[in-house]
Amino acid sequence: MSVQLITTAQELLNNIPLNVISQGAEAIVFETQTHPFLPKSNQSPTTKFIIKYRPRKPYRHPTLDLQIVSSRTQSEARLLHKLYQLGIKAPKLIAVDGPNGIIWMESVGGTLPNGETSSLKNMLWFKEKSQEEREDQRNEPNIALDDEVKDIMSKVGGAVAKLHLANIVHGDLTSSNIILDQHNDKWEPMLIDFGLSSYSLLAEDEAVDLYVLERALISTHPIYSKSYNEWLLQGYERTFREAAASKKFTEISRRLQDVRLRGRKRSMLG
Amino acid sequence: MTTLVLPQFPETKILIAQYQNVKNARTIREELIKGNLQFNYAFINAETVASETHLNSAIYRTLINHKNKTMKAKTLHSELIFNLSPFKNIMDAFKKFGIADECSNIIVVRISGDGETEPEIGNLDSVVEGERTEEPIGLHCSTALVKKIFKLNGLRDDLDLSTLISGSIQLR
Ligand SMILES: Nc1ncnc2c1ncn2[C@@H]1O[C@H](COP(=O)(O)OP(=O)(O)OP(=O)(O)O)[C@@H](O)[C@H]1O
Repeated sequence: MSVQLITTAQELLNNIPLNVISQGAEAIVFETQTHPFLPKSNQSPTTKFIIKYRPRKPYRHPTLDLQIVSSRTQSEARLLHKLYQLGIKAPKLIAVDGPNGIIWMESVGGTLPNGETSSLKNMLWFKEKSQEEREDQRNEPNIALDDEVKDIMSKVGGAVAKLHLANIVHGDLTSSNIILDQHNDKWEPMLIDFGLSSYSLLAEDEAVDLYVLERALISTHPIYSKSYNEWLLQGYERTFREAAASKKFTEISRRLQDVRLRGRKRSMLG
Repeated sequence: MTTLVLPQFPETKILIAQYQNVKNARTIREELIKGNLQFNYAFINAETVASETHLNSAIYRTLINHKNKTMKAKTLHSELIFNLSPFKNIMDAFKKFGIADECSNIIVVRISGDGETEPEIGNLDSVVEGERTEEPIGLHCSTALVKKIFKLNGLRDDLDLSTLISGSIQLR
């Protein structure tokens, strides 16, 4: 099955060397060093590009399927372009082939000291593991809760806030959909995977976005999630305040309490 | 003059040439309207092409549309001029991005499909009365005009013009 999908992708992307880096339910993500339309001489030899490919689903009606693939691809691409216009950190759009479900974008992030890709998830795991493996855990400050982590989490909050200030909800915020990009020794978060994003003017939708991230952090980083979430919300609030939108923040924050409460009730009911 | 081959379209040879001090823009336009086959190129107003990224992005869009059979124009060369623009209407695209009577700086593109013979640059040199130059594409661009055409004036000014233009070309 998946071999067949990759063969199809390779036919559509004739001549483009493709490396699979992720295979999700809806899309296969490839990496390549070939730009679709700019000559090699314009780029540094290490530059990489990401191709996100949404394959056709044979079990759907062909006409409907084409519409679904095409519109999801176009809408994710449109969002990436919009985010660039707004100055919100996300991969830049390079090219789109809507009917074939293909988006080309800039590759963001790099590698952590342990060689893993620099997603927020890997970064936090790396920090947590470094702390765990330490000899003298009591006297030294905790690595998993150091200033670097605090700075990163607060910036993540800021990035989500910027998105929400533009009335965009991400729809699938997790610590693997946040990639850290290194800029002069500092890590800057970039959001990726806008496949489920939409515009919304409802504080409720923004609250749900935050709640999803909060739950993702709790399940992926159980020991320290309380501090992580606290810093994240601090950064989130600060960005709203700086944008003179404290009122909107208060509304979202109130909604977040409700959403949490409903979440707890639901989990009690099983 | 450059010959461009895009990786996904190895059979398609694309010739790109630039001319300055062009004296016969009006004649070229008239011959184009007549459908003279010697003028089977896209003649582009260099004033509205921001960069190589702008031009190549539109070429790529054209070849993808051709492959997907979603072209709006009848020929590859008109489709290219259409794709250089943000407009919905082909005539508007021709007005701003095609050669105009008073044009002195032009970019000429020839897209040769599968099996077609590649054009000789000599033929083009004899058609255009002007000097062929090897300057980087975008040198004769009027940034203010392009920003206006693509409605980019309200945006932050730290954004890269070519990225903005290429993005909107890809999304058209
Ligand atoms: N622009 C990018 N730069 C670097 N890596 C990327 C980029 N886009 C995607 N990736 C990598 O590919 C993975 C999957 O991408 P993405 O989340 O967009 O696809 P998806 O099919 O929606 O994934 P999932 O179904 O797992 O949520 C990401 O977790 C990331 O590791």
